[in-house]
Amino acid sequence: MRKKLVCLLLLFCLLLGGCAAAEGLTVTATFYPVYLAAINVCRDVEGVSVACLAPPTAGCLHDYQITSAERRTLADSNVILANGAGLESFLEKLLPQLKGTVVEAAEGIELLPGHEDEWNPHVWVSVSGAIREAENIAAGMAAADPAHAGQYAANCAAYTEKLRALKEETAAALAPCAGKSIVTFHEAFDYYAAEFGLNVAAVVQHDEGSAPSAREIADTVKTIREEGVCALFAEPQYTDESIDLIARETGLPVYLLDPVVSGEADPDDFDAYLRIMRQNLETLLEALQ
Amino acid sequence: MTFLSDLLWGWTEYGFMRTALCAVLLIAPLYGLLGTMAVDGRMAFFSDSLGHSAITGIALGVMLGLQTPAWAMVLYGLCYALLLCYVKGRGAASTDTTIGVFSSTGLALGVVLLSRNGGFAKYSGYLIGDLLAIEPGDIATAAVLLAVSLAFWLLFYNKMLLNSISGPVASSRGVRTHLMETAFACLLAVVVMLSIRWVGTLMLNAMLVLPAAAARNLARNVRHYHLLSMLLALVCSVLGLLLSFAWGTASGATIVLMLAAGYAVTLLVRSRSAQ
Repeated sequence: MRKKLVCLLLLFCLLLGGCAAAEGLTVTATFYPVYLAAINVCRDVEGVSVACLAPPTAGCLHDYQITSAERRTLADSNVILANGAGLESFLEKLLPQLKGTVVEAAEGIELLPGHEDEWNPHVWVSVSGAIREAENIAAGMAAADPAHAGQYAANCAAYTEKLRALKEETAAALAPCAGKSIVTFHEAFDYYAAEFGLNVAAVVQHDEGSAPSAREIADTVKTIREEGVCALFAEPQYTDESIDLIARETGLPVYLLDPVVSGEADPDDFDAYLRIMRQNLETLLEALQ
Repeated sequence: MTFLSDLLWGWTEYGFMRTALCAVLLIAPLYGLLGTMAVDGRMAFFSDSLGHSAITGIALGVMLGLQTPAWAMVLYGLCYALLLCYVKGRGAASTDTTIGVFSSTGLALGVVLLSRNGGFAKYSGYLIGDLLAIEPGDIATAAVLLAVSLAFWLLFYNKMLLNSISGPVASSRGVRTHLMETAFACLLAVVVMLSIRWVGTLMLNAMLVLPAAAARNLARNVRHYHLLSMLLALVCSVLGLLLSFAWGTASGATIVLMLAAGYAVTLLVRSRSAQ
């Protein structure tokens, strides 16, 4: 009898402990760029833990299939931070079943057209887009957790301050390159190019996950020759041969530009976005001068 | 009009199309030749299973962090072929059931390994392949494969034919049937693993079986059959490649479609001449 009582007591304690841990706010960002904005907005806020859903190697989430473990993470989250603009297609089907609030970072941002009749979701690759997304995330967090609203706003202001400095720095550095034509691997850099006056003459991969056809490659090569493109930009997340093929065809050098979609999800790496974008800027300057 | 000009000469100004054409000129007869042997040896399903399980080879290569997982894949393909040949003679079920078991296991294992990080969509290119991804250096690989296959054919074809007609007769004539089958399986495995990136797991078997099947409809004797299979593969593949350029479609699939059309034509010719 006593043993049973002790067991019951222990069980009760365990349950209590479990409840206490669940009291904090579990925030899940769908992938790396949203995660980077989220850790900055939630910096040092008591009881808030931010996790990144997709593994750091997943790259852009087009056609991403979530695993059952990730499905569970989503179900257990109080707030889900997504990029939106059609990037997380897996999320749309799950929406009715999720108890947490879903915040779309790209909400209200004017979108560029993507391929076929979709929007281009790569808003965060432009610095202005990243600023707007951080503000949206801060507003969403404040609505979900009003007790800490002031802290989210202050964190957001501090982070966007750094982003604005990056934007000015980039604009000044790229000013002499205005109007130059580049070719990127997929449509990830359209917002960035629009922001800093570059012209994306063509993209190599039109459809995610399938190699371009001979016709598409030939058209890209033709555009490159006609528009005097001076460099090709691949992305570290994709090992696709078609860009090498175009490089051989046109004799242009290939550089790597990172659309900030992969990296270790380190909760203390607050400046990862700034670091990667500065690296991109250096690459661009090297390629275009 | 632009369609015609694209088809006839528009492609010639692009180096990648010239490379792809060279590759097709080597790969098509290679598959045509191996196809006749696979069809005669009743190993068409075996090659299909090899193609499906190549996904596991790719996954192993990706996991080991190799830039081009070719060596991991060849090693894996050889192990797979040897294991399958070993089990085939021993299991209680019929050969096609055993192969089915292997095929589905290989495919499932590959998908599990690749989807570990949720990004299987990134590798879906391997399903349909990319003929245009062939680099000039790969042409040499294709040429060596063709040469080795031709040598194998010259050395062993008569024995394989005898075996396919009657195993016991072949054995009584001193043909080591099991060894020969295993050797052919290994050759097929190496060819499949080295070319899967260009041909794709879903298209591979069509490239192998269709030319042989079409040639059978017309062939008058064994020599004629092999020549015809290689020739049909060559003509349909070149036509498919150029059409894919003019239409803007996937090269591998267009080639397979042309091969299927070739099969339909030979079937028609055969029923005409039978009347």
